[in-house]
Order: sequence, then structure tokens, then C-alpha cells
Amino acid sequence: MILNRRHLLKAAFALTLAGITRRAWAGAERNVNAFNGRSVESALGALDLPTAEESSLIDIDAPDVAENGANVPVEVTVRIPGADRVLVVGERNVFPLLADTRFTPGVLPWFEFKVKLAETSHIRVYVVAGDRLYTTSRQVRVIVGGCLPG
Amino acid sequence: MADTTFRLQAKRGADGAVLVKALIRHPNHNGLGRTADGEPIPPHHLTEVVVAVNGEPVVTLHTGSGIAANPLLGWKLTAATGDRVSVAWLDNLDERGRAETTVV
Repeated sequence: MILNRRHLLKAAFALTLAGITRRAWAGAERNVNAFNGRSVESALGALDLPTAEESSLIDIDAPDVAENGANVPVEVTVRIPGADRVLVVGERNVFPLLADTRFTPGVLPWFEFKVKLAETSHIRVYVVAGDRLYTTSRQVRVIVGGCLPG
Repeated sequence: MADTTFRLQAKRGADGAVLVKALIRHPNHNGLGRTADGEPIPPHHLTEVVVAVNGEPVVTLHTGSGIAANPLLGWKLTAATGDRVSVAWLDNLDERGRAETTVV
């Protein structure tokens, strides 16, 4: 009886601890379905976003021609007030969603990272500001695809 | 086992913002590749990266198989000189890495 109670308490404690560390790690859960989506539609559909409108206030800096699709630098600058979330999509990749990043107000809405691109395609960036969704895209020509060997 | 070493720096740029650069050593296999012997390489890639200033998270990046191997990541933060900036990552096999530096 006492043993059972001890086990129960231990289990409950472990569960609570797991919950706390999980929350401390990141604010929002990673959307597994979106990252496993094999088309732009299924990836974005899993994220449940409003309809996007084209915006000229998003700059994507990426090479016009990437010799090696396995390592393409992408730089995103957002000049939309209140933007706090940026999504990056490689439109012709097997798994199109490349990044879903969230900023707190102390951070400039700018970031850079490196991605794989399967073939010549558009990189499309979606920006969430309040309850609106903005988008823009930029084409990158890929000489050697970066998805299959890696 | 991923090589968990990574390089991190946080420097104030000309625009006054603190430029954080992280070079994370990670193979980032997307699960589609094969070895020279034709054996499939299982997926092994970053899933989450968190940037924190003095222990307070300011940026979360969720990513997937599309991130490049050994990626260079960069952000611009508002932080004071001497603040501690840390970058922590988690991958799909639950391996973790973390680096911390001071703003200069």
C-alpha cells in the first residue's frame, strides 16, 4: 500500500518535471505535421494560417544562382510593424517547410540561416503580424540539387 | 552521435543591434539520402533552436529536414554589453547542444 503510494508520487513528480522542462525549452510546440507535409499546401494547411497577401516589405536575400543546393544561405529582413513570426518555404523541396521562427519584441525581425534546395525553385517567406499574413518570394537557380545525397 | 561542438559569437554591429551568429555542427540528414553502399541514411536533423538573453528565450526556430548540414544561423537582438546570450538546439533523436557567450 505504502509502496504503491510512493510509486504513484514518484511517477507524478516525474511527469510534472517533464512538463516543466518541456515548456521551458520553447514557447510553442513544433508543428510536426507541417514539417512532414510533402507539398506546400499540406505544410501550410497544417499550420492553419489566414490567407496571405503579397507584400513588398519583406526582403529575401539569397543567391540568384546556387551551385550547390545543399547549402544555400538565406537572409530575411521584415519591415512590417508587429511581425513576430516568419515561415520559410522551399516550394519544390520534398519537405517544403524549412523554418518556422518566432521573435519576441526585443528582437529585430531579421534572421539568416542555410537551407537545402532540391532544385531551381522559389523560396517563399510568410510573415505573421497580428492576425494578418504577408508573403513574398524569390527564385534561386540550383545547379546541383541538395536533397537526395544529404 | 552528432558532433555537438559549435561556435557562437554576439557582437554589437554598426546599427546598434547585437548580431548573434551560431555555427552548429550537425549532419542534418533528411532521411532521403543513401550511403555509398546504398544503405538508407535515417533522418537526423535539428528540430528546435532557442536563443536566450540572460536565460530569457527571445527567439525560437522550429526547423526540419530542409536545414543545411552544419548551418550558420544569425539573429539581431537588443541586448546590453555583458549580457549572456545562449543558443540551445534539439534534434529529432533528442540530442541536445548549447553554447553561451557574452555580448561584446
